[in-house]
Amino acid sequence: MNTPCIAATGLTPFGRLEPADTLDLMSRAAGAALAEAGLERGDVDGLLTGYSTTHPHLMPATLFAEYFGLQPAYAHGVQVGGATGLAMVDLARRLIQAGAAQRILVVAGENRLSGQSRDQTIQTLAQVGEPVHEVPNGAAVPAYYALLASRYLAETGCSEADLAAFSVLMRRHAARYPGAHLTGAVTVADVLASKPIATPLKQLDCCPISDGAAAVVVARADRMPAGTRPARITGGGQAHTHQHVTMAPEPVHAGATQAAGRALSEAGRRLDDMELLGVYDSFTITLAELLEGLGVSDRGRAPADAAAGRFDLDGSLPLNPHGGLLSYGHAGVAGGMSHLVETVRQLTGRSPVPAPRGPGLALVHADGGVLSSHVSLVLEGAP
Amino acid sequence: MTIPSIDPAAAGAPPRIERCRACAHAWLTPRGFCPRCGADDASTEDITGVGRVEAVTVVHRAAQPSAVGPAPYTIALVAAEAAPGLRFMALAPGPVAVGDRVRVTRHGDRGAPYLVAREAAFRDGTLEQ
Repeated sequence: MNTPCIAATGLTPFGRLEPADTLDLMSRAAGAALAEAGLERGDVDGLLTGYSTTHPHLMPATLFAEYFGLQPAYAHGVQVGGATGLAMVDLARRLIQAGAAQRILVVAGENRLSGQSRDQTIQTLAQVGEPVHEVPNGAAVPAYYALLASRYLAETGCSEADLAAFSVLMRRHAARYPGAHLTGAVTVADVLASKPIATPLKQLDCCPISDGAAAVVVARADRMPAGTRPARITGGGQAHTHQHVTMAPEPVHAGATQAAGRALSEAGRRLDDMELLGVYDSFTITLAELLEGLGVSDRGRAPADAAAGRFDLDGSLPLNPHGGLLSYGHAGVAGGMSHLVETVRQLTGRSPVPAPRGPGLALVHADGGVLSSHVSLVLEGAP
Repeated sequence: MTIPSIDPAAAGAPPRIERCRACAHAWLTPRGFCPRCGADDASTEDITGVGRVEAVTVVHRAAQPSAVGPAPYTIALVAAEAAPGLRFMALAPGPVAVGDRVRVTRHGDRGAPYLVAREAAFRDGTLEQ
């Protein structure tokens, strides 16, 4: 039983959590994960951390280790935008497989909402744009995804109302989930009437900016205390196709297809085997492109699948039962880890909103940049 | 980053690219070598900015003004005819739509800001305005 597994998780509420700063929030999530795992600080021999836009640092892992009270044998930060959380877990399982560490804490968090202004956040995130040929045109992250949405709608014939189905679904999920940032019900009409950000994206097509943190412990199950309820990581795959939207491949979601194919192949599973999805959802268009790139929905069909209830908690393939970035909230790297935390909770019987079908197999996927970096993981419950 | 202010009525220059002398691959961000074949022999050339609009967004919420003024402003993604696979991101002072044939002009020393305007073109034998 040396398959790497996620032995425990920690997730703070997302929202406005001042005066907590980056290290406070990371400590809360890390403490929760260690408590659930039944581990002491001295049991952690590996540490991987994300970055924080409110606390940039050359040595984020060492910084956190000192603050939280760890002296790991292996530690460093990782940066691939929204895919960072899953990339850290993909790395952690490989370190476990290689015997480089036994119990690795993966943690990220930041006070992205209360620690800086909205304009500062937008300008920091705009760095993912090309500095000579893109950013001087006044583009920022919402505009990059808006360009993807413009293409998608023109190509597929879908409407803005069709994309809104994802906002409605994520809000419905978040309304039942403890700690979610946005919980008030929204309708398709509400999404269409929300103020324009970068057409065709309106405010309710975009995730909020949140404070929050998330953590997981990656370990060999036989190196964990008795009573641990782990989710096994049976496959992982990545793809990094480009950085800037002007250099995106055709089709634009090719990286999702490649990463998921690699993860499923390693796990020896087919996409049709999956019973639960955790998919990065920074914008409604992100979900449409990723679900279609993963092969979950045919081209142009993901919004209709959402509207038809396929991704509801009691649907055939539940998606982001915590409400995703669109409603649980987006606290940077921790936002991308929230899908992973909820997926592990579902697979191990610890979710506050258990899916009726009791999923045992799940695919989680995240992208960083503008569909630039992709990481897929296949997770499985008790064998 | 400070974004320069430009006059949308100014003529502008043709877009400047690099092209590999060994494999003819073309790219926008200057680097002196070919990212496809690795050859160190790249030429700098000005190409026609004519292309097809792939995507358009009107930015309503922005942290700072664009080169043609504060939000709302329009950004287009344009597929270059002169270099397959190469795209421009450009500001559109006038209306453009997905599928329009347009002309991109350069208004900076090295690269952007780019401006994009609809190109009068013959389509199906008739002059399209």
